[in-house]
Amino acid sequence: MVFETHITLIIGGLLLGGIYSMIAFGLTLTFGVSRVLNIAHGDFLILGSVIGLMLFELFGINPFLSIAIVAPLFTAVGMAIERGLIRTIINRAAERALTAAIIVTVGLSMAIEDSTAYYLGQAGGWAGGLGYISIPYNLPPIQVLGYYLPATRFLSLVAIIAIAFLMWFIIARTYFGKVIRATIQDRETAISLGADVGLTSAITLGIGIALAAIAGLFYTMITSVSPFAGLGLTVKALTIVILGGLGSLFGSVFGGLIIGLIESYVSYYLGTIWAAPVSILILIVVLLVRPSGLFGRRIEEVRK
Amino acid sequence: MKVSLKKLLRKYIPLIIVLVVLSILPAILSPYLRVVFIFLFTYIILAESYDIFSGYSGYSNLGHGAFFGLSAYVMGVLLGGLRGGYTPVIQPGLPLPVAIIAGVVAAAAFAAGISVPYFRLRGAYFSVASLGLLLLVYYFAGNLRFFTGGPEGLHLPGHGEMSTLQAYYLLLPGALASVIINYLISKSKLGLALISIREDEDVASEYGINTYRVKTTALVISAVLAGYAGASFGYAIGVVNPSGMLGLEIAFAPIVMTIFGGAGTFSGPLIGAAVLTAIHEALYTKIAYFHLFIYGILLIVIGLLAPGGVVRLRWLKKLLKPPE
Repeated sequence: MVFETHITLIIGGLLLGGIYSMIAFGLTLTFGVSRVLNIAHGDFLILGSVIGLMLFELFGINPFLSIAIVAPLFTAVGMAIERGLIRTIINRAAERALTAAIIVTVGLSMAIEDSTAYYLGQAGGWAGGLGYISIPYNLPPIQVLGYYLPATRFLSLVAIIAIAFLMWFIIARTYFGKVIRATIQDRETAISLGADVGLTSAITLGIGIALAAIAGLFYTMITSVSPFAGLGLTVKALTIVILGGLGSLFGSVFGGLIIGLIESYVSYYLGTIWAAPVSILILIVVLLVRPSGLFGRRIEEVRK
Repeated sequence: MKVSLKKLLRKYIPLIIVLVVLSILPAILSPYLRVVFIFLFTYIILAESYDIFSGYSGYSNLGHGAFFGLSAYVMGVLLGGLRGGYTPVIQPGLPLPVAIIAGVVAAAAFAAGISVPYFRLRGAYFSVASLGLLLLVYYFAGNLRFFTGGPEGLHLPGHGEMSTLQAYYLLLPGALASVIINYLISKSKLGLALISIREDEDVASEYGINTYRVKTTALVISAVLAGYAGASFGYAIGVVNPSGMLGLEIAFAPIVMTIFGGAGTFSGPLIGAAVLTAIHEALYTKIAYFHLFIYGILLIVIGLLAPGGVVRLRWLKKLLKPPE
């Protein structure tokens, strides 16, 4: 085993982990604020990559630049979904709200997956009718200290770190971030102290969905996804949230990196087909060994 | 309390009529309609069994299809299914009843085993995690080529001799049993305990209900029925492959049916399965695509307007109520 292979695996794993962190962070953020676990979350990664591919194929826009189009677009989509679907659910009694939230978001996911699959599967259509999404954008490798590093991956990693820093700044340093943290901690008290929780939920759902969509751009630059991968990605994001600890924003980022590294190594040693089931097995093991996750509060407090 | 024979008879007459009609029905059905009924029975078993756990307990088990698919695969392998041109793993294959029973046992064991880690989760977390079970079985079915034949799946021996008539009688008892079991559970202590968990799990636990045991019992019962449906349906179809046995349509259609009809009642899943299977068959020939899309939109509409399902709609109840 050469040193260079390990470097490649670690960079690949960190990049994959960074992408997973973005999805998981968005999921735990939106769940924390709106109390609705969005099962269609992973599908917005697919939709983001479809938009990215469209921009790249039709207008030749660099996927890194299309972040500037994808981010506001999906923030608006997320806010519209919050207004149209989620808000009517939240205002129900707790037990019914849960069932309704699951039904509505599963329905949303099925509708998105089926229509994306239809447009991608069209023979003679764009994307070659292969039924798979992949953005064929690649930069020549760069040479650092005598080793060849994949430049596209490296640039993606830098972009993800920049986004992570931006998120940290919003959550930790702005008034809006303070409202988000307060709502996650105690929704009722936040409302009684005058926080506009409705608007906050709408914007956080927008941010969460935009993060998933941007993650889709990076994800489809390194791999190809089927339009039906959305549900699997939501499950993966949940695995990461549980691994990091329910309700912990930092835990979701850290958990994402761990899962990314594990998947990178599993793909290399056992084959790529085993990367997906491994994360579900990790979920089961974590639930057995440490149900509160790595950075979780006591599980009784957060699992309701 | 003395129950007169007349009263008892009157109570069971509708049931007996339905039984007789269903058992002689295939004689007058065309082969195509028989297949429709085979699908209907499969969906009834799946919807009723999904309801037994999720409808009463309030835990949405989105991975219910995992029991169905797992059982179908165990049945297929034990029967000596051909793996895409290769020789079967088990030679000669076991007889069909043994293979079906093994499939059911495997589904039940899977449910019991998975309950240990999974019942540490609640609410929406449980639902998404349970979706992982479906994906887990799906990935293993696709990846363990040596047993399952990978994406092409297993071709079952002896299927050629199977008529639609036999398949009909294989699935009919399952459908009847699932409706009756669901009804009995709704009247039993187990059903009450499950409903109390749905209303407030912590209070139920404080009042002395062993919530873990109650949930596991219901999940295993629901897995047994789904397992029977999987093994029988797999044999009736003749091919066990990941997209057919574990695809999104077969996994989610029963859940949509249950919620459409009304979860937590024995009649809801039955009505949902009957109505949606009829709509599906009517649309199938006209619209080749967008089945999942239609199910999805239907789910959103139900979730927003009537999360209790059709049987709980007030105006419908009023309409059906006999005038006094």
